Amino acid sequence: MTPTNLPSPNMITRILSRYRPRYVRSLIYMLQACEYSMSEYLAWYDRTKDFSSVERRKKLVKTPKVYLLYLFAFAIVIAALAFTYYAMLFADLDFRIIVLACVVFLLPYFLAYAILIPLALVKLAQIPAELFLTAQARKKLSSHKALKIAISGSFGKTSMREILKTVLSEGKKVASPPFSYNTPLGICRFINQLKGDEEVLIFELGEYYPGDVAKLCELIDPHVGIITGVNEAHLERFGTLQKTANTIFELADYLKKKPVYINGENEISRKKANTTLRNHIVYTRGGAGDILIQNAKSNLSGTIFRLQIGNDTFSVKSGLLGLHNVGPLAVSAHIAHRLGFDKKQIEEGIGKTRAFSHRMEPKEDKSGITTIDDSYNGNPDGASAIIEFLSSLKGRRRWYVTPGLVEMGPRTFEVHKEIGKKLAQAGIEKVVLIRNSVTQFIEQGLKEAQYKGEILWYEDALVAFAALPHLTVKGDVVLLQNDWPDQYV
Amino acid sequence: MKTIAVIFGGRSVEHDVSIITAHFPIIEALIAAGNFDVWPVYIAKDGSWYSNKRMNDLAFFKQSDFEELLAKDKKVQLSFDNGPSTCPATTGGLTLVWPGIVSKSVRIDIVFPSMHGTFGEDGSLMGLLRMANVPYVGCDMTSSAVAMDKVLCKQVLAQEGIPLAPSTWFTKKEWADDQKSVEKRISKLKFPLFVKPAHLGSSIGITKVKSESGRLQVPPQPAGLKNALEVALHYDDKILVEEGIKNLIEVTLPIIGNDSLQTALVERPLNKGDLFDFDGKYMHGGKKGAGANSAYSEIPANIGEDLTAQVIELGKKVYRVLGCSGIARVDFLIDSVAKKVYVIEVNTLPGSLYHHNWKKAGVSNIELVSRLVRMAEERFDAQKGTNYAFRSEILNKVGGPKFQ
Amino acid sequence: MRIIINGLAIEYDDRGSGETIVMLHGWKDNLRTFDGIFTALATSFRVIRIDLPGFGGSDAPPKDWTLEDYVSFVKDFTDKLNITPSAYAGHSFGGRIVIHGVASKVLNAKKIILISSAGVARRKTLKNSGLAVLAKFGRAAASVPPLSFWKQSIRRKLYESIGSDYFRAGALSGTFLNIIKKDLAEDAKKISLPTLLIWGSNDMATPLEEGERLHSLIRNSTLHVIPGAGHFVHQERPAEISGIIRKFLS
Repeated sequence: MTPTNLPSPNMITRILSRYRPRYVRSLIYMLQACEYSMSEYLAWYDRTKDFSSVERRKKLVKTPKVYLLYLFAFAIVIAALAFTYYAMLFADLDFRIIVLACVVFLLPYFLAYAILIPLALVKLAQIPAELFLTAQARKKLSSHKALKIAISGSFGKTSMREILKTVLSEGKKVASPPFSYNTPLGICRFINQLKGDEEVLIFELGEYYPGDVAKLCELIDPHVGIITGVNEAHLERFGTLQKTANTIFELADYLKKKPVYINGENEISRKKANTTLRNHIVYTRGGAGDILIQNAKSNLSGTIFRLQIGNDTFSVKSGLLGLHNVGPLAVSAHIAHRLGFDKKQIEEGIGKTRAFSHRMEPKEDKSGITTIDDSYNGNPDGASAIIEFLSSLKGRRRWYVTPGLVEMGPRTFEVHKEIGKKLAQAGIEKVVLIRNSVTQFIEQGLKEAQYKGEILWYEDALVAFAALPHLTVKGDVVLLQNDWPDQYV
Repeated sequence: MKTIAVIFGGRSVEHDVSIITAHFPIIEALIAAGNFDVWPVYIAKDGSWYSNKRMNDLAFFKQSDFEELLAKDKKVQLSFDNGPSTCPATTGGLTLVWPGIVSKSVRIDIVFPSMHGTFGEDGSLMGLLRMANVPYVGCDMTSSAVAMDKVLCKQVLAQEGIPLAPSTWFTKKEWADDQKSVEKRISKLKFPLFVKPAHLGSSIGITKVKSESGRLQVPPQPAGLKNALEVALHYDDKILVEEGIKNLIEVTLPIIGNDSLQTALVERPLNKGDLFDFDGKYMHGGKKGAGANSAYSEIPANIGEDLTAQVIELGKKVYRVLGCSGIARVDFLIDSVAKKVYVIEVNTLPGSLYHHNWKKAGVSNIELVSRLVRMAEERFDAQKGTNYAFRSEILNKVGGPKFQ
Repeated sequence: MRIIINGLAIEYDDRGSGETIVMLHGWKDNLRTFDGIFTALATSFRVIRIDLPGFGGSDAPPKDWTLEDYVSFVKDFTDKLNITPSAYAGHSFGGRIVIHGVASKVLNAKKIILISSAGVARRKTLKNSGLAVLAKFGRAAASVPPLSFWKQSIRRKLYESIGSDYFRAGALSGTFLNIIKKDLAEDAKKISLPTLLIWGSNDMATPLEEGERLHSLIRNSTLHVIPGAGHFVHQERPAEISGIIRKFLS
């Protein structure tokens, strides 16, 4: 054997990493990190070669479920060892070696998949309960008198929901499922908690596979729809943008002649809007329907613009950053107006809108450095919105920190190159890239657009975050765009 | 990739502050800069030297049992021998050596001293590094030693016409032998007085005395002059007694540079009230502007253009007079009514490099440490040109029979 | 501020005017433990708080001290400051100093205040003397390999399991053993001064029964039990405690 045939030390580490006690913990940790979604877990397992440092961002939280999985994993290991022992006792020599090799070699892989068995069983056992829950929710919701607003789209759903909730709460009792409860089960749980006196209910419709949105529409039976746009988010699962668009527009199909607000700043959704045959209302930073918006300006303290409703024109100020929020704010004003809100209520409602956590949330530290946490923003439209905002900030040194976007499927190359180009055009002074499979495309885009600033590379987002306080000075604006959770690393 | 050793800890009351300065910003920024191989060299309270990369993480020192963990480590030794060399100018250098059956060694290209107070800031460490013939960051041996001795520092600055608060000084021996003459000298100063141990970097042992007898007024004042002298003598054998400044504004100015100097912003610490105003607060010794107090600072100090310009000009002058290089921080007292600025003392290793101030002045931590490293190299290279070695025949000529 | 007592730099705090109260903190604590109650008292008394040698900002004793050493230290401190305290207040270990100092007539005052004081733990004394033996025995055993390898961690585990401050006492461990050896029941019997006992009902370090025991041992004592409070009762209920002390002293 020549030295070149020897496995590299790196490879040995990788292989050995499956035999450490920590391996089991890593598997369970990852299951917990992707909220026990089998597909996400399997995708991660498929991708990962080295299991020596899986647990980085969070720590394994010891829940009963985790103990159960531990128990099961060790049962498998013990069973495998027992099996080997008996095989050793009874088999002949050749067979012994084969058995031993098989067990040693296959056990880690077997373990990784077998650990899903208890989860699958639990899921199976939950099905009848889920069916009951859904039936109950459907019944309760159909008799609920509230105005039901449904939001679908590849991006910006949560922002839209929060804006609506804040503005409409000025005059109505509003409720919406917490966090990103946008699966049928999550929505049903929420419905079953309703008191019955809510006047407006707002739902986000999650889309993962064709038919998802239609199914949720059946369940909710909304009165008003909002489509925030279509882009490459989840493209890996949909395959083509066309499929994504069709799935998202299942909302418009369901609502037929009922009002649907459609984001006119997103090319795909604008093209699919049908204002003549259907009641589609296109919204942009210029306004929504008969509401017009003028003189919109945005800086680190918020966004101001003039709102014209009929013959009334007045100024409003929102705490949200970036002009891309103006369209959604116009939608909220439009709905509020239709619900009979007066000028003052709309003005105050918009005045109360603030950045939500991890979504363009600005914080200034005591050294005078502003960090904008946009770590939940992982889609191309969000990225261009934030770049547009940054480009409008003059006289400050700007840092754009990103690990790129995930799940862009076949569009990965174009999407990232485009981000690079936009960063170069916006004249962002410093771009901090986390080394992985996609950020090289951002670099390529930057170079093609003759980027004048500095590109800083870091091996790991955590290392970059640790370095940033040492790189920045007073007046700097640091944007943290998208933070990959461990399962994507 | 340069190999850099950050030396911190030490047998001084400021041991803990030194650990913080070493990590934040020095080690973290050097690592973040990406072009240094950083070796943390920690001097324990008992004087043992350790070096282990896990000490690059401040969290290591936050473990309650870190001293026990360290005790299991092999101690590190310093070697000044850099192997055979043909060129005399490059002999020497610093190597970290972990002796043993399988001994290990790391050659150090440059040292970043991060020790406050005794042994670290007083020139001792610098003397050692000078002997080793290795470039090191910050002030050299002479300026460190002078700046550390408050009395000597004042004498040097006075000679150059730098405005200083009136003061007198004495040694422990003088106090023991001729208390009367010391008391007579002190009696010529006006209250309130500050009694300071001459060599201590922190505020430990410093007392403000408002009157001879101390506790006569209501509310009670700190104990009298005699007690203050006794406390100071507990910590040092050389004591400075200094007049307080009226209408006091206290400011400080960090400066970097070898020949051309750059100043940070004039900073007004607002929590030093501990020391200068006993009435409201409880004095806690050992506090040294370790960055942590930046929240209590006014940066830039709102003292008007004239005073700011005066402070900057005076600061640079002091820096030059003392022969500082790399980094130092000059402290000032301002009589805000008379608009007069006095120099009070010089710190050759400002706590945490005063990075909070530099950041506001537009110098990031990475830029700060990188520039300091560059300055250290420049100074080292400049000194290499100076020829200290010369051949002489004197040994051959002196006494004894000649063999030739 | 600082003062030099017998060659040790001592941190102390001196506020207010009127009759003098000297406050002594507990083990592994410092004068700031009384932050919550001293301001209210300083409006009508001169309140002096001391960082005892080995704690807070004060120098550590040059050798292992005994309770007597701490008592004579307090005496020297008051002499140097030229004060005659009308009252001593001690928390926990500080309480030990007050009990022993007053009983042995080294410290003189008109009244004393004991907050969750240590010194009369019946069960604990047994445990503590056992601990002293164990510490000596353990130290010898742990120097033999391979036990010596895990010496520190064994020690920590051991002391943690019996909930002792000994390990954390560090350089003061000898002093700690000296202090806990002494049972102060006899001393308590000798005290005739008006004594205020303040105890939290949920005190785990010096349980309420110890307060009750002191109450029965000290003739002229009143026991104030604060329901629901723990060992650091003066930090948990500062307003209440300063009120009680004020009333007791006036």
